[in-house]
Amino acid sequence: MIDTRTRKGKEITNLPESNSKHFTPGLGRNLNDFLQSLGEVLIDITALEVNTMVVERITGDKFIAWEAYRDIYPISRQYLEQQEIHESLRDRYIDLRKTMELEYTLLLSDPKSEFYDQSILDSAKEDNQILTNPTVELHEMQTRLPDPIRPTSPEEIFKAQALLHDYRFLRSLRKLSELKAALDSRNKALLRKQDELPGNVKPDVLHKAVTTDMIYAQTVLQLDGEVINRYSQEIFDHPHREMLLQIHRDGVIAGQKQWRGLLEFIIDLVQATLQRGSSKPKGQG
Amino acid sequence: MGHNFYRQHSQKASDRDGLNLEPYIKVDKEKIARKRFLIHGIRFNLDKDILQKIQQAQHTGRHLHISRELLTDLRYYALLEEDNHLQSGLTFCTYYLRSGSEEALLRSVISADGDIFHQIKSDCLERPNFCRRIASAHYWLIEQLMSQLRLRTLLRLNQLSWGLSLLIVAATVIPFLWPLMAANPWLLLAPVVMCWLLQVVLKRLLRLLSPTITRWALRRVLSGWLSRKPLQKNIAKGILAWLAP
Repeated sequence: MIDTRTRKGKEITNLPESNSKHFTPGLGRNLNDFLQSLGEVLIDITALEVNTMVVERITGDKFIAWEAYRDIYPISRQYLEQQEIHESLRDRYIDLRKTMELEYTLLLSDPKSEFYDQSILDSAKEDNQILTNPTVELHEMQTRLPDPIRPTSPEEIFKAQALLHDYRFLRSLRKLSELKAALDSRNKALLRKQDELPGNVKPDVLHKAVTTDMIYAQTVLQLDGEVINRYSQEIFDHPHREMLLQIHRDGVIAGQKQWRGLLEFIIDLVQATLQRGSSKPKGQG
Repeated sequence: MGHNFYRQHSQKASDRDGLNLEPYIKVDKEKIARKRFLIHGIRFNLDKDILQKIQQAQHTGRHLHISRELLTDLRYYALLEEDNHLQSGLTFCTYYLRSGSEEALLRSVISADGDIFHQIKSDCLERPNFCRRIASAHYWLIEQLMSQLRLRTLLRLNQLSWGLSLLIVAATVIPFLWPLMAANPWLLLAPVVMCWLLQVVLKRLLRLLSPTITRWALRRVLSGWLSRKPLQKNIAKGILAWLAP
């Protein structure tokens, strides 16, 4: 399967400089925060990533932030075992949980974030393994995320609520939730296939036998012009390989145009709302 | 788009207008309170005929007609969600109706920070020709919607300047209409010239002021949208639907 860890995870040292909280007069606080967050989206962009998945059925799952958070938070080795997640998929679930922890730790260590906590960076190195050690095991690190299932205090619930209002965290959560949904479906399909096939089936045989609910192809178009194509191993054995590749190529071309439309809309809107005059450069507020 | 399923049809004059698929594009809204809606995504309901129409449009370069109401919903959806969250991804789903039953075949999630997921139902792949057609239609519909999101001109300068100048000239000339007619009917040309001149001046003036006016209007619209009061939200939607083409 393709590694879909969020790209943002790699950019610990590359936090944007220009999005310090300044206030533009004449705008309400709501509007100011909103424009700021739109600006942050634009600054965070490093590449366009197009993923093509084959699924057994399209579900109209709605993204509900709290639900997604509540479902990813408890992930651990024991939990996955309890939930009867197929062994071959467990590492991928763990990765989702680690990415979520990383996103939160980045917020805690970002002086510009409202979640900034000075003590995070002062604390012992072992506590910050998620920031420094990419291979850290989930059980070796201590989670800082507010507990949505068994909160110890009302503050913890408020903290979780506040976190789910943070645009950056939400964007990442959305992607994690999308990946988790695919993993959940794949898990079901794998378990079903396992029951169908006689005897003890090797995981790689099983993965070949189940052709749905996975990302087959991924194309990353970086802003510097570099293009990276990744294909899952399984695509080479897929009965409709050519078709799938063709659809992916079409999806990449279409994706670029679709995304450009969305971006142009946002950029225009931010510019037109902040602009001081047609000929002058953008005001500094 | 290499395949040629498309037979050349005679191009009607009305084809220059966009392809209107309004009844087949639905905003998936959930009512969460009186006058408050949550938008979950956009849904395309296709069937054989619609698919063919889309293919024709793709081949002739015809664009999709999108009503102001849909466009406004879409803009709102692209920017916001309930509770002022920045919408973290736009979801588009294509349903196909065949022999009385419909099923979802494709789903795309597009987020502003550059993550796109295209999902395709596995049994769709077993019919290669159909699969390519429907995927291409699905991508095209999204592309059309996204490319029309952009706010072109908020102020229609031509109409506005003509309207204003007519109003001003009419208000000043009407009281003197009869005396002018009596003196020399040719003098009636003067108001026409006045009107034209005034319109030119007004247009320049408006063009100069338009960033300020646009900024003001947009701030009103966005503040309304961000407001928790449903009435304010709806007024803002109304203003945008009325202003933006």
